[in-house]
Amino acid sequence: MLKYVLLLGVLFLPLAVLSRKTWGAPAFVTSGRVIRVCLFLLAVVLAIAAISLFFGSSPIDVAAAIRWLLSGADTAHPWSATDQTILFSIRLPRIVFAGIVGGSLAAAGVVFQGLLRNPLADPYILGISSGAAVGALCALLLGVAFAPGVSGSAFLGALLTVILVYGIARTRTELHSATLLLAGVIVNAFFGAVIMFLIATAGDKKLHNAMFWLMGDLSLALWPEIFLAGFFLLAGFAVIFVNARALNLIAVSEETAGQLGVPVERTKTLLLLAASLITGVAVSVSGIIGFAGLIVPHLMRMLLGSDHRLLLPSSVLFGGAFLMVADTLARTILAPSELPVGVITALCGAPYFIYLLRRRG
Amino acid sequence: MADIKRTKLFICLLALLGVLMSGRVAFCAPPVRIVSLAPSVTEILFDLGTGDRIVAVTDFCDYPAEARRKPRIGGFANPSLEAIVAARPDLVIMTEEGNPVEIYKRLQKLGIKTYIFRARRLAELPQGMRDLGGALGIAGVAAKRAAAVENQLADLAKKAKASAQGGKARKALFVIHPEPLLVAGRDTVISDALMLLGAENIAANAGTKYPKFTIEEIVRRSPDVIFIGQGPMSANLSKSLMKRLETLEAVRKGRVYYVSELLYRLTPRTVAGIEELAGHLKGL
Amino acid sequence: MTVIALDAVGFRYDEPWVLKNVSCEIARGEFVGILGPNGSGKTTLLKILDGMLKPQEGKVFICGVPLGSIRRSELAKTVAVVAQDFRMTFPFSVQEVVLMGRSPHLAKWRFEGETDLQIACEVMALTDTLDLANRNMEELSGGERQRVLIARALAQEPQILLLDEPTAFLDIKHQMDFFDLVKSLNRKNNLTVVAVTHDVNLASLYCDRLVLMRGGRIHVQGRPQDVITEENIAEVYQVRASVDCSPATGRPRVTPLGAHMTDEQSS
Repeated sequence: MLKYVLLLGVLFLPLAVLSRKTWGAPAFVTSGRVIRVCLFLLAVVLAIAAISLFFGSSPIDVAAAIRWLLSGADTAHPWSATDQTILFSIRLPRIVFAGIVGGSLAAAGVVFQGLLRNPLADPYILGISSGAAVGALCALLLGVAFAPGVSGSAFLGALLTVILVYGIARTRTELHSATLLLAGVIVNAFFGAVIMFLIATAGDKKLHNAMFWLMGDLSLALWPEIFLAGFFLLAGFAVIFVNARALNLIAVSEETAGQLGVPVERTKTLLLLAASLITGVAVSVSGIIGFAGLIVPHLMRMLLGSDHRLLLPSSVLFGGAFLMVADTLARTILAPSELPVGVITALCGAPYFIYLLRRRG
Repeated sequence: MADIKRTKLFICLLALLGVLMSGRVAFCAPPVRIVSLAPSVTEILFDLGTGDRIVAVTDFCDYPAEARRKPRIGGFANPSLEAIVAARPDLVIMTEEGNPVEIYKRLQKLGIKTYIFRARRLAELPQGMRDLGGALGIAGVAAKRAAAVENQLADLAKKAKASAQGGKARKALFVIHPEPLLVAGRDTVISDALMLLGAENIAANAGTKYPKFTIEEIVRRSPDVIFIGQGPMSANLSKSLMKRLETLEAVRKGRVYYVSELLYRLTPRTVAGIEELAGHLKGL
Repeated sequence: MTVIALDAVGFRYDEPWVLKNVSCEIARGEFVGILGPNGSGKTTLLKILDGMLKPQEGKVFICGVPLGSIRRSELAKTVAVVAQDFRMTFPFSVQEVVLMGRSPHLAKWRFEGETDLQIACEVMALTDTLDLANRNMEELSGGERQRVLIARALAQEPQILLLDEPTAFLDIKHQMDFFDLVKSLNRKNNLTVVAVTHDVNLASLYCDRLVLMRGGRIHVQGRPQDVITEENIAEVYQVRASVDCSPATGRPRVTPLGAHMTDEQSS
């Protein structure tokens, strides 16, 4: 029990430190502030990763290892080969993966909320998750793989969805945000129906696999996929961060952004594609994990303000930490059974939003 | 002594790393720590007398009683990789239906030996038992048990044929679940059982293995006998179903039988389930 | 020196021309008001001046350079816009909003530097918003928010200030404060101002020159005394009005006459 308190504490206490009010920080963002906050959050991420490493269905003696280290490391290592396999081949990749996926979803969430000027936007608002789900389910249930494996099919589905939504919303001259949202709603509904169709006609045994993919699963990714996801996160993040100030202006209004010299249509397209790519990759390899891309940007914005140059990197880092904790809880609360990580994020997310709504008035 | 054994095993594992998976694996020494990822496999392992070698099972492995006392590694479709590894198995036995293929890949990558139990239909059970016995190093015992199963099945088929006496095949429907209405279609163990007993499964030409049927369809095909699976509990659930089917002669004449779930798993106990069906069919 | 030159500008979205044959020259330091009823094209004209819309006919020159050849980011260093107040979805502080005005002068990945902060402080002092610096925009009143928007526009260090009905939702005091501020900037800093407004009297009071538009064309332009006449008001706005010279300000004053007034007068 105590260890859960520790884990949650390491995740949430730093938030108090970050709160603008407690620090009396100046009302605007400097590069120095960005660096300081990011270093702080990076420390949090590493701490959580280290703690999570020792959470799991099989007990691993941390104290013995520390004693061994301190005593000069000359006797046999207290961890057996099995322990080491569990720690480094099973838990470590999973924790790193959770961090990357959490960061990806948070980054995409920040971008979509800013671009669409909608605080309720999340990475799935344009239907990317449904498209990926259709791709994955086709591979899982029909045995039809359009690309290597379930992940490949899912990514293809996500890609096609982006093209579809983008195509619907684009006119000759501009990409209209409201139309984009509507197109996303329509596509979500349509693919949702396709998903239900696939599930209804699925064979009994395969159904389970499909359900667990839909609910999100961080346990099965290997290092190649993890590095791939990490690469796309970094690349996408770089593109978005360079345009972060422009995103500030677009988040105020597109007219304002245009009047202040931002090439609005080009920037919107670029940001949209980068965020969609990050989301597509994340969903393809981990299934549909909800709420992370919605809560984390909100939380960070409440604490650190709306300037995307700070909001973006801090959301990526905290999103990573958040999903690490959620996944750790998912795999230990009912050990050895595993809860889908999406269940934990939703259980956190819904009460949080009720709280937010009450606060707003 | 244990160290030497372990080293030997380790060398064998190294040698086998990178060999593509097939159903039959050669061992240097028979596996002594087995993890079972399917309830049917667990039952067969106990039937073959290797129950004491099992170190972990899934949450759904409930037969025999000792199986329930074994350590767990999670569910059927979402077993915990960590728990499997922590059990330090020599062999992990899994099935293609239901166990996620990713677990198989991960176990391969970690150098843990896996065996895929491929028998899915009634006719494949004896050979499946023999193959499994070969992999466990108890070919003799397995052959005996497999032969016993084969004899029992042949026996049941003969008796059913005799009592039918060349008359028309009885039309049967096996309801897996009353609401939503799921029935046993073709390519299932249940269908095999009905065929063995000379009955005609009216759902045999449906598209999937466990199709969702409509009331209309059942009425139109008019089965002579209806079996409802999963024991007395489903009596309540199926009350409304029976109400909707009350025009059927089978329902009016009381030819609706609740049978146990022995036919849901492909194990030696399936024979008992088939006996149950045979008993009901004989009276018709 | 001419900062804005419009030569036979025409614009349309689909079929009907929204603007047709609009020609006008605005000199540095002028305070020009653009008046007209709804649909007369005044807002469209402003959007063309700030580079948002491209006219299908005619030419536009900013400081002698064709508008089409100026990149948006460059244009933002010359032309700044203050529009109507609107709710921002996300909370930004006053300081952050003012610093947004420095954006045209900063490379994409650059953070604001000493100079930028300096300029921000100066414009906030000018607009009397310095003590609001750390407050959130949502906490401010309408009048305060508009002052912040002027500060942001000034932070762009523009030569031309475009106003798009900026006082539409403000009460009288704040309207006057707003225009007083703009007028003083116009006089002291030689800032060229082009203001689109509905309020004829306000325009008459503050503007050096008025452009009266109707149906996408310029009906008449010139000094307030010449433009605001009973005939012009009747033709363009389709209302009967009494126009006299206000003894307090010396500028033309419009008093619209509704139907009930003429009834009262005649009874």
